[in-house]
Amino acid sequence: MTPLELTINLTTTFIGTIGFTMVWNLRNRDVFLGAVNGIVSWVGYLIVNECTGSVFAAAFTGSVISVVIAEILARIRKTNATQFMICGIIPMVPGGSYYNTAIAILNGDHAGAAAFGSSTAGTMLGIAAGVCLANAFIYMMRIAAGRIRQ
Amino acid sequence: MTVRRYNRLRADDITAAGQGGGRSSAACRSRADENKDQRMLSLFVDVGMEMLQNGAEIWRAEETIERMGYAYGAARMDIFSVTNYLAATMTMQDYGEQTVTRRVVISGNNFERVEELNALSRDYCRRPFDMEELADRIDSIRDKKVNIYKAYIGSLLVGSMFTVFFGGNALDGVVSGLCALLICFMQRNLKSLCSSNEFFYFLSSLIMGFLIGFIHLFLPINTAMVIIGDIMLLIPGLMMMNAIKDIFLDDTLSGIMRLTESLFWTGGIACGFIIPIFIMGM
Repeated sequence: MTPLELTINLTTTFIGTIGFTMVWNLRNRDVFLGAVNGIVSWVGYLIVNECTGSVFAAAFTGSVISVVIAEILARIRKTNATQFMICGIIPMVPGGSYYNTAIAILNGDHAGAAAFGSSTAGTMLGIAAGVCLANAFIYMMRIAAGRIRQ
Repeated sequence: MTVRRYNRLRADDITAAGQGGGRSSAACRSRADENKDQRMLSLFVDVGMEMLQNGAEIWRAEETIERMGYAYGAARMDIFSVTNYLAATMTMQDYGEQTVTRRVVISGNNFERVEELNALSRDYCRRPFDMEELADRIDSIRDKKVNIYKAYIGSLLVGSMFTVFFGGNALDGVVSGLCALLICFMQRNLKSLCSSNEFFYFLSSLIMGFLIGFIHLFLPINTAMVIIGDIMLLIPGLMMMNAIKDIFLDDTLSGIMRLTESLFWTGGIACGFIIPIFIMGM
Protein backbone atom coordinates (compact mmCIF):
# COMPACT_ATOMS: atom_id res chain seq x y z
CA MET A 1 0.00 0.00 0.00
CA THR A 2 1.47 3.37 -1.03
CA PRO A 3 1.39 6.32 1.43
CA LEU A 4 -1.40 7.94 -0.62
CA GLU A 5 -3.46 4.74 -0.61
CA LEU A 6 -2.88 4.38 3.13
CA THR A 7 -3.99 7.97 3.74
CA ILE A 8 -7.15 7.45 1.69
CA ASN A 9 -7.78 4.14 3.44
CA LEU A 10 -7.45 5.59 6.94
CA THR A 11 -9.40 8.75 6.11
CA THR A 12 -12.32 6.82 4.64
CA THR A 13 -12.25 4.42 7.64
CA PHE A 14 -12.44 7.35 10.03
CA ILE A 15 -15.23 9.21 8.23
CA GLY A 16 -17.12 5.98 7.43
CA THR A 17 -17.08 5.01 11.12
CA ILE A 18 -18.35 8.48 12.03
CA GLY A 19 -21.18 7.76 9.56
CA PHE A 20 -22.02 4.56 11.43
CA THR A 21 -22.04 6.33 14.79
CA MET A 22 -24.62 8.70 13.31
CA VAL A 23 -26.73 5.87 11.87
CA TRP A 24 -26.76 4.13 15.26
CA ASN A 25 -27.48 7.44 17.00
CA LEU A 26 -24.57 7.54 19.41
CA ARG A 27 -24.54 10.64 21.56
CA ASN A 28 -22.66 13.49 19.88
CA ARG A 29 -19.94 13.48 22.53
CA ASP A 30 -19.20 9.79 21.81
CA VAL A 31 -19.04 10.05 18.00
CA PHE A 32 -15.38 11.09 17.82
CA LEU A 33 -14.24 8.44 20.31
CA GLY A 34 -16.13 5.75 18.40
CA ALA A 35 -14.37 6.76 15.21
CA VAL A 36 -10.98 6.80 16.98
CA ASN A 37 -11.61 3.22 18.14
CA GLY A 38 -12.49 2.33 14.55
CA ILE A 39 -9.26 3.69 13.13
CA VAL A 40 -6.98 2.30 15.88
CA SER A 41 -8.46 -1.21 15.52
CA TRP A 42 -8.15 -0.97 11.75
CA VAL A 43 -4.47 0.04 12.00
CA GLY A 44 -3.94 -3.03 14.25
CA TYR A 45 -5.65 -5.16 11.58
CA LEU A 46 -3.48 -3.73 8.79
CA ILE A 47 -0.21 -4.24 10.69
CA VAL A 48 -0.94 -7.88 11.58
CA ASN A 49 -2.27 -8.60 8.10
CA GLU A 50 0.92 -7.14 6.62
CA CYS A 51 3.15 -9.16 8.96
CA THR A 52 1.36 -12.52 8.90
CA GLY A 53 -0.80 -12.44 5.76
CA SER A 54 -3.58 -14.07 7.77
CA VAL A 55 -6.99 -12.39 7.82
CA PHE A 56 -7.94 -14.48 10.87
CA ALA A 57 -4.98 -13.25 12.92
CA ALA A 58 -5.53 -9.68 11.71
CA ALA A 59 -9.24 -9.67 12.54
CA PHE A 60 -8.54 -11.32 15.89
CA THR A 61 -5.99 -8.66 16.83
CA GLY A 62 -8.19 -5.83 15.58
CA SER A 63 -11.20 -7.02 17.55
CA VAL A 64 -9.16 -7.52 20.75
CA ILE A 65 -7.88 -3.95 20.41
CA SER A 66 -11.42 -2.77 19.76
CA VAL A 67 -12.84 -4.51 22.86
CA VAL A 68 -10.05 -3.24 25.14
CA ILE A 69 -10.37 0.36 23.93
CA ALA A 70 -14.18 0.15 24.15
CA GLU A 71 -14.01 -1.01 27.78
CA ILE A 72 -11.58 1.78 28.69
CA LEU A 73 -13.75 4.40 26.94
CA ALA A 74 -16.89 3.01 28.59
CA ARG A 75 -15.28 3.37 32.05
CA ILE A 76 -14.16 6.93 31.30
CA ARG A 77 -17.50 7.99 29.80
CA LYS A 78 -19.66 5.91 32.21
CA THR A 79 -21.51 4.41 29.27
CA ASN A 80 -21.92 0.96 27.71
CA ALA A 81 -18.96 -0.56 25.90
CA THR A 82 -20.94 -2.08 23.01
CA GLN A 83 -21.39 1.21 21.18
CA PHE A 84 -17.62 1.80 21.06
CA MET A 85 -16.86 -1.86 20.37
CA ILE A 86 -19.03 -2.07 17.26
CA CYS A 87 -17.39 1.12 15.93
CA GLY A 88 -14.01 -0.60 16.23
CA ILE A 89 -15.20 -3.73 14.51
CA ILE A 90 -17.12 -2.21 11.60
CA PRO A 91 -14.07 -1.47 9.36
CA MET A 92 -13.13 -5.16 9.59
CA VAL A 93 -16.54 -6.43 8.45
CA PRO A 94 -15.73 -8.28 5.22
CA GLY A 95 -18.26 -6.58 2.94
CA GLY A 96 -16.00 -6.86 -0.10
CA SER A 97 -15.17 -10.55 0.18
CA TYR A 98 -18.79 -11.31 1.05
CA TYR A 99 -19.89 -9.67 -2.23
CA ASN A 100 -17.14 -11.42 -4.18
CA THR A 101 -18.15 -14.80 -2.71
CA ALA A 102 -21.75 -14.27 -3.84
CA ILE A 103 -20.63 -13.24 -7.34
CA ALA A 104 -18.26 -16.22 -7.63
CA ILE A 105 -21.10 -18.58 -6.66
CA LEU A 106 -23.36 -16.88 -9.23
CA ASN A 107 -20.72 -17.32 -11.95
CA GLY A 108 -20.09 -20.97 -11.04
CA ASP A 109 -16.50 -20.10 -10.12
CA HIS A 110 -16.02 -22.70 -7.38
CA ALA A 111 -12.34 -21.93 -6.81
CA GLY A 112 -13.06 -18.22 -6.46
CA ALA A 113 -16.05 -18.89 -4.21
CA ALA A 114 -13.90 -21.09 -1.97
CA ALA A 115 -11.11 -18.49 -1.80
CA PHE A 116 -13.40 -15.52 -1.09
CA GLY A 117 -15.65 -17.62 1.15
CA SER A 118 -12.76 -18.77 3.30
CA SER A 119 -11.49 -15.18 3.55
CA THR A 120 -14.97 -14.02 4.64
CA ALA A 121 -15.32 -16.88 7.14
CA GLY A 122 -11.76 -16.38 8.43
CA THR A 123 -12.39 -12.70 9.09
CA MET A 124 -15.73 -13.35 10.79
CA LEU A 125 -14.22 -16.11 12.95
CA GLY A 126 -11.28 -13.87 13.83
CA ILE A 127 -13.64 -11.12 14.95
CA ALA A 128 -15.77 -13.59 16.94
CA ALA A 129 -12.74 -15.18 18.62
CA GLY A 130 -11.21 -11.80 19.45
CA VAL A 131 -14.44 -10.43 20.93
CA CYS A 132 -15.02 -13.62 22.98
CA LEU A 133 -11.49 -13.88 24.33
CA ALA A 134 -11.13 -10.20 25.19
CA ASN A 135 -14.54 -10.18 26.87
CA ALA A 136 -13.62 -13.34 28.81
CA PHE A 137 -10.51 -11.69 30.24
CA ILE A 138 -12.36 -8.48 31.05
CA TYR A 139 -15.13 -10.48 32.77
CA MET A 140 -12.54 -12.40 34.85
CA MET A 141 -10.77 -9.21 35.82
CA ARG A 142 -14.05 -7.59 36.82
CA ILE A 143 -14.99 -10.55 39.04
CA ALA A 144 -11.49 -10.69 40.55
CA ALA A 145 -11.55 -6.93 41.25
CA GLY A 146 -14.93 -7.32 42.95
CA ARG A 147 -13.62 -10.09 45.19
CA ILE A 148 -10.51 -8.12 46.11
CA ARG A 149 -12.70 -5.16 47.07
CA GLN A 150 -14.82 -7.42 49.31
CA MET B 1 -50.40 3.28 24.15
CA THR B 2 -52.45 0.90 26.28
CA VAL B 3 -49.35 -0.13 28.13
CA ARG B 4 -48.42 3.45 28.78
CA ARG B 5 -51.84 4.36 30.15
CA TYR B 6 -51.74 1.28 32.33
CA ASN B 7 -48.38 2.26 33.72
CA ARG B 8 -49.46 5.76 34.43
CA LEU B 9 -52.27 4.81 36.81
CA ARG B 10 -51.98 6.96 39.88
CA ALA B 11 -51.17 5.60 43.31
CA ASP B 12 -54.60 6.90 44.45
CA ASP B 13 -56.34 4.63 41.94
CA ILE B 14 -54.40 1.66 43.25
CA THR B 15 -55.30 2.44 46.86
CA ALA B 16 -58.95 2.91 45.86
CA ALA B 17 -58.91 -0.44 44.06
CA GLY B 18 -57.44 -2.08 47.13
CA GLN B 19 -60.13 -0.61 49.41
CA GLY B 20 -63.01 -1.77 47.26
CA GLY B 21 -63.09 -5.39 48.37
CA GLY B 22 -64.59 -4.89 51.87
CA ARG B 23 -61.66 -6.59 53.60
CA SER B 24 -59.92 -5.59 56.80
CA SER B 25 -57.64 -2.53 56.52
CA ALA B 26 -54.47 -4.66 56.83
CA ALA B 27 -55.59 -6.97 54.01
CA CYS B 28 -56.59 -3.96 51.84
CA ARG B 29 -53.23 -2.32 52.39
CA SER B 30 -51.51 -5.54 51.45
CA ARG B 31 -53.48 -5.80 48.23
CA ALA B 32 -52.82 -2.17 47.34
CA ASP B 33 -49.14 -2.73 47.89
CA GLU B 34 -49.23 -5.82 45.70
CA ASN B 35 -50.89 -3.76 42.96
CA LYS B 36 -48.22 -1.13 43.33
CA ASP B 37 -45.50 -3.79 43.13
CA GLN B 38 -47.10 -5.16 39.97
CA ARG B 39 -47.08 -1.73 38.35
CA MET B 40 -43.55 -0.96 39.43
CA LEU B 41 -42.36 -4.27 38.01
CA SER B 42 -44.22 -3.45 34.83
CA LEU B 43 -42.24 -0.20 34.57
CA PHE B 44 -38.93 -1.97 35.24
CA VAL B 45 -39.76 -4.45 32.48
CA ASP B 46 -40.64 -1.54 30.18
CA VAL B 47 -37.14 -0.15 30.74
CA GLY B 48 -35.59 -3.54 29.88
CA MET B 49 -37.83 -3.97 26.86
CA GLU B 50 -36.94 -0.53 25.50
CA MET B 51 -33.27 -1.41 25.89
CA LEU B 52 -33.68 -4.66 23.94
CA GLN B 53 -35.69 -2.89 21.25
CA ASN B 54 -32.93 -0.35 20.73
CA GLY B 55 -29.93 -2.66 20.41
CA ALA B 56 -28.83 -3.53 23.95
CA GLU B 57 -27.54 -6.98 24.83
CA ILE B 58 -29.71 -9.51 26.66
CA TRP B 59 -27.60 -9.46 29.84
CA ARG B 60 -27.77 -5.66 30.03
CA ALA B 61 -31.57 -5.61 29.91
CA GLU B 62 -31.81 -8.42 32.47
CA GLU B 63 -29.31 -6.80 34.81
CA THR B 64 -31.07 -3.44 34.59
CA ILE B 65 -34.42 -4.93 35.60
CA GLU B 66 -32.76 -6.92 38.37
CA ARG B 67 -30.96 -3.91 39.85
CA MET B 68 -34.03 -1.71 39.70
CA GLY B 69 -36.04 -4.46 41.40
CA TYR B 70 -33.58 -4.82 44.24
CA ALA B 71 -33.38 -1.04 44.62
CA TYR B 72 -37.19 -1.01 44.94
CA GLY B 73 -36.95 -3.51 47.79
CA ALA B 74 -37.46 -6.92 46.20
CA ALA B 75 -36.19 -9.93 48.08
CA ARG B 76 -35.57 -11.83 44.88
CA MET B 77 -35.62 -11.08 41.16
CA ASP B 78 -35.80 -13.70 38.40
CA ILE B 79 -35.46 -12.40 34.87
CA PHE B 80 -35.52 -14.40 31.67
CA SER B 81 -35.15 -12.92 28.25
CA VAL B 82 -34.54 -13.98 24.70
CA THR B 83 -34.43 -11.67 21.71
CA ASN B 84 -38.20 -11.30 21.42
CA TYR B 85 -39.50 -12.25 24.85
CA LEU B 86 -38.96 -10.86 28.31
CA ALA B 87 -40.31 -12.23 31.59
CA ALA B 88 -39.61 -10.94 35.10
CA THR B 89 -40.74 -12.22 38.47
CA MET B 90 -40.32 -10.05 41.54
CA THR B 91 -40.63 -11.59 45.01
CA MET B 92 -41.25 -9.21 47.90
CA GLN B 93 -40.50 -10.04 51.50
CA ASP B 94 -44.07 -9.73 52.80
CA TYR B 95 -46.25 -10.36 49.75
CA GLY B 96 -46.43 -12.93 47.01
CA GLU B 97 -44.66 -13.03 43.67
CA GLN B 98 -45.44 -10.73 40.76
CA THR B 99 -44.73 -11.71 37.18
CA VAL B 100 -44.77 -9.50 34.08
CA THR B 101 -44.03 -10.66 30.53
CA ARG B 102 -43.53 -8.73 27.30
CA ARG B 103 -43.33 -9.60 23.61
CA VAL B 104 -40.33 -7.65 22.33
CA VAL B 105 -40.32 -6.28 18.81
CA ILE B 106 -36.83 -5.17 17.79
CA SER B 107 -37.04 -1.71 16.22
CA GLY B 108 -33.39 -0.92 15.40
CA ASN B 109 -30.28 0.51 16.98
CA ASN B 110 -30.51 3.68 18.97
CA PHE B 111 -27.60 3.88 21.40
CA GLU B 112 -28.58 7.30 22.69
CA ARG B 113 -31.85 5.82 23.95
CA VAL B 114 -30.06 2.81 25.47
CA GLU B 115 -27.73 5.24 27.21
CA GLU B 116 -30.60 7.34 28.57
CA LEU B 117 -32.31 4.20 29.89
CA ASN B 118 -29.03 3.18 31.51
CA ALA B 119 -28.77 6.57 33.17
CA LEU B 120 -32.38 6.29 34.33
CA SER B 121 -31.72 2.90 35.92
CA ARG B 122 -28.55 4.19 37.60
CA ASP B 123 -30.47 7.18 38.99
CA TYR B 124 -33.23 4.90 40.24
CA CYS B 125 -30.80 2.53 41.95
CA ARG B 126 -29.05 5.47 43.62
CA ARG B 127 -32.30 7.14 44.77
CA PRO B 128 -35.47 5.13 44.12
CA PHE B 129 -38.21 7.54 43.10
CA ASP B 130 -41.98 7.09 42.93
CA MET B 131 -44.03 5.43 40.23
CA GLU B 132 -45.24 8.68 38.64
CA GLU B 133 -41.74 10.06 38.20
CA LEU B 134 -40.44 6.76 36.82
CA ALA B 135 -43.33 6.51 34.33
CA ASP B 136 -42.80 10.13 33.26
CA ARG B 137 -39.10 9.64 32.70
CA ILE B 138 -39.67 6.44 30.68
CA ASP B 139 -42.27 8.26 28.58
CA SER B 140 -39.97 11.20 27.95
CA ILE B 141 -37.18 8.87 26.76
CA ARG B 142 -39.61 6.89 24.60
CA ASP B 143 -41.19 9.98 23.08
CA LYS B 144 -37.90 11.69 22.25
CA LYS B 145 -37.73 12.08 18.48
CA VAL B 146 -34.77 10.65 16.62
CA ASN B 147 -32.90 13.20 14.52
CA ILE B 148 -33.64 11.91 11.00
CA TYR B 149 -31.09 14.23 9.38
CA LYS B 150 -28.38 12.61 11.48
CA ALA B 151 -29.40 9.18 10.16
CA TYR B 152 -29.44 10.41 6.54
CA ILE B 153 -26.07 12.16 6.82
CA GLY B 154 -24.62 9.08 8.53
CA SER B 155 -25.88 6.79 5.75
CA LEU B 156 -24.46 9.14 3.11
CA LEU B 157 -21.04 9.06 4.80
CA VAL B 158 -21.08 5.27 5.25
CA GLY B 159 -22.09 4.56 1.64
CA SER B 160 -19.64 6.97 0.03
CA MET B 161 -16.66 6.40 2.34
CA PHE B 162 -16.80 2.60 2.38
CA THR B 163 -17.08 2.53 -1.42
CA VAL B 164 -13.80 4.46 -1.66
CA PHE B 165 -12.38 2.34 1.19
CA PHE B 166 -12.96 -0.85 -0.80
CA GLY B 167 -11.35 0.61 -3.93
CA GLY B 168 -13.99 2.69 -5.69
CA ASN B 169 -13.26 6.09 -7.23
CA ALA B 170 -14.84 9.45 -6.39
CA LEU B 171 -17.78 8.98 -8.79
CA ASP B 172 -18.52 5.55 -7.28
CA GLY B 173 -18.45 7.16 -3.84
CA VAL B 174 -20.91 9.89 -4.83
CA VAL B 175 -23.34 7.41 -6.45
CA SER B 176 -23.05 5.03 -3.50
CA GLY B 177 -23.70 7.87 -1.05
CA LEU B 178 -26.85 8.88 -2.93
CA CYS B 179 -28.02 5.25 -3.02
CA ALA B 180 -27.35 5.06 0.73
CA LEU B 181 -29.85 7.90 1.22
CA LEU B 182 -32.48 5.70 -0.43
CA ILE B 183 -31.52 2.80 1.85
CA CYS B 184 -31.98 5.07 4.85
CA PHE B 185 -35.36 6.20 3.50
CA MET B 186 -36.44 2.56 3.02
CA GLN B 187 -35.25 1.61 6.51
CA ARG B 188 -37.40 4.37 7.97
CA ASN B 189 -40.49 3.90 5.81
CA LEU B 190 -40.57 0.51 4.11
CA LYS B 191 -39.47 -1.71 7.00
CA SER B 192 -42.73 -1.40 8.91
CA LEU B 193 -44.65 -2.62 5.83
CA CYS B 194 -42.60 -5.83 5.47
CA SER B 195 -43.51 -9.12 7.09
CA SER B 196 -39.99 -9.78 8.36
CA ASN B 197 -36.51 -8.30 8.53
CA GLU B 198 -35.29 -10.89 6.03
CA PHE B 199 -37.91 -9.88 3.49
CA PHE B 200 -37.19 -6.19 4.02
CA TYR B 201 -33.47 -6.67 3.42
CA PHE B 202 -34.13 -8.84 0.39
CA LEU B 203 -36.50 -6.23 -1.03
CA SER B 204 -34.24 -3.26 -0.35
CA SER B 205 -31.22 -5.08 -1.83
CA LEU B 206 -33.29 -5.92 -4.89
CA ILE B 207 -34.37 -2.30 -5.35
CA MET B 208 -30.82 -1.06 -4.78
CA GLY B 209 -29.42 -3.61 -7.24
CA PHE B 210 -31.80 -2.52 -10.02
CA LEU B 211 -31.18 1.17 -9.25
CA ILE B 212 -27.40 0.74 -9.41
CA GLY B 213 -27.77 -1.26 -12.63
CA PHE B 214 -29.94 1.51 -14.10
CA ILE B 215 -27.41 4.21 -13.11
CA HIS B 216 -24.69 2.07 -14.70
CA LEU B 217 -26.45 2.49 -18.08
CA PHE B 218 -25.78 6.25 -17.96
CA LEU B 219 -22.67 6.68 -15.82
CA PRO B 220 -19.32 4.84 -15.97
CA ILE B 221 -19.47 3.53 -12.41
CA ASN B 222 -17.92 0.40 -10.95
CA THR B 223 -21.12 -1.35 -9.89
CA ALA B 224 -19.30 -3.83 -7.65
CA MET B 225 -17.74 -1.05 -5.57
CA VAL B 226 -21.03 0.85 -5.29
CA ILE B 227 -22.84 -2.32 -4.18
CA ILE B 228 -20.11 -3.22 -1.66
CA GLY B 229 -20.26 0.28 -0.14
CA ASP B 230 -24.02 0.07 0.24
CA ILE B 231 -23.91 -3.52 1.55
CA MET B 232 -22.03 -2.17 4.59
CA LEU B 233 -25.20 -0.32 5.59
CA LEU B 234 -27.31 -3.47 5.29
CA ILE B 235 -25.05 -6.14 6.81
CA PRO B 236 -26.20 -7.03 10.36
CA GLY B 237 -22.79 -6.46 11.98
CA LEU B 238 -24.14 -5.37 15.35
CA MET B 239 -26.59 -8.25 15.49
CA MET B 240 -23.85 -10.79 14.75
CA MET B 241 -21.61 -9.30 17.41
CA ASN B 242 -24.40 -9.30 19.99
CA ALA B 243 -25.13 -12.93 19.04
CA ILE B 244 -21.54 -13.90 19.75
CA LYS B 245 -21.53 -12.00 23.02
CA ASP B 246 -24.83 -13.58 24.05
CA ILE B 247 -23.48 -17.07 23.40
CA PHE B 248 -20.33 -16.27 25.30
CA LEU B 249 -22.32 -14.88 28.26
CA ASP B 250 -24.35 -18.11 28.58
CA ASP B 251 -27.42 -16.68 26.79
CA THR B 252 -26.99 -19.47 24.27
CA LEU B 253 -30.60 -19.53 23.12
CA SER B 254 -30.69 -15.79 22.41
CA GLY B 255 -27.31 -15.95 20.73
CA ILE B 256 -28.35 -18.77 18.42
CA MET B 257 -31.62 -16.98 17.60
CA ARG B 258 -29.78 -13.76 16.75
CA LEU B 259 -27.11 -15.59 14.77
CA THR B 260 -29.68 -17.56 12.78
CA GLU B 261 -31.66 -14.40 12.07
CA SER B 262 -28.54 -12.54 10.98
CA LEU B 263 -27.54 -15.41 8.65
CA PHE B 264 -30.98 -15.41 7.01
CA TRP B 265 -30.77 -11.63 6.84
CA THR B 266 -27.36 -11.85 5.13
CA GLY B 267 -28.78 -14.47 2.74
CA GLY B 268 -31.66 -12.11 1.93
CA ILE B 269 -29.17 -9.34 1.03
CA ALA B 270 -27.17 -11.70 -1.21
CA CYS B 271 -30.30 -12.92 -3.03
CA GLY B 272 -31.58 -9.36 -3.39
CA PHE B 273 -28.38 -8.15 -5.08
CA ILE B 274 -27.74 -11.27 -7.15
CA ILE B 275 -31.06 -11.11 -9.04
CA PRO B 276 -30.45 -7.65 -10.62
CA ILE B 277 -26.78 -8.50 -11.23
CA PHE B 278 -27.91 -11.61 -13.12
CA ILE B 279 -30.75 -9.92 -15.05
CA MET B 280 -28.88 -6.71 -15.94
CA GLY B 281 -25.56 -8.48 -16.57
CA MET B 282 -23.57 -6.12 -14.34
